[in-house]
Amino acid sequence: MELDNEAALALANTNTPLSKPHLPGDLAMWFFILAELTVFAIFFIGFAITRQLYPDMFQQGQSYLHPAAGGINTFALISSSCFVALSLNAIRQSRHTYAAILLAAALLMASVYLAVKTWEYNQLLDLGYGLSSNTYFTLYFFITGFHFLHVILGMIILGFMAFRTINGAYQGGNLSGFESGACYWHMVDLVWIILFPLLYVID
Amino acid sequence: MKSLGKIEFYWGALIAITLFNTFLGEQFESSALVSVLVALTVMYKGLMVIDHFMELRHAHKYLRLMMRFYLIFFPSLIILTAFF
Repeated sequence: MELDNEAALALANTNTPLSKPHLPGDLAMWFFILAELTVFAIFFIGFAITRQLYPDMFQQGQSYLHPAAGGINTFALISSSCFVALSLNAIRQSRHTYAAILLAAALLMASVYLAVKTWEYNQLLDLGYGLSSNTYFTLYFFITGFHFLHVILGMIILGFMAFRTINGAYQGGNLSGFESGACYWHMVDLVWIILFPLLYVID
Repeated sequence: MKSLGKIEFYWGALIAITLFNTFLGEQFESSALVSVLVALTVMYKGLMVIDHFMELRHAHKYLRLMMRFYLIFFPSLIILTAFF
């Protein structure tokens, strides 16, 4: 969906409401995002029900996790999402180099997430806990691993967006591709916002 | 000095809430009160992300409604499980 100049300026200045609804990104991307969120919803429900069935196992399993590591990852993904939102605003103002720098910052933050999560996995594996240890760790590794793969896919998309930004692909108000990639990345952030307390805070 | 924009402001609020949740996770045994607090903050964080980062405030109302429902429903389950 293309933005006209009035809409682009109104969105860049978030105080200004638009007269007609504007879908950020492609409709196809939104179907994909909603499908992904549905899959994660099934995981959330499965995790919550299994926790009710095996509370002691879940409490013991959670004691091996590090809430600080989860907090760092949340910081990394929220910051990354913020950089992507700022990058979209920069593109709308035709500041393409600045937008590309912001996307690089978003990728850096995403790398922090990958590094911390890999460290967490290594810690658990060193302690002898893996995918088949018990129901808790099966769900933990499966859900976080699935999210981890989404982060990697999101990073590939962000990298592609940065490449296209540098090459001047987002000119003349045609920002649909950029908005679609940005919305996918925000979805990855949203899922983690729900996962973080579910895995690390509530026991 | 350039003043902070809205996105930076919401980023600061999200980080502050995350630090609060991490503090709860590190310092307190889980209780119904902690679960309710965490669930409410998750709802708030999610709604901020969809409105201000995803820009769904400007999107069709049904899409925004679906996303808002998602982010209210699942944290509500956390509250529900805290009492059963």
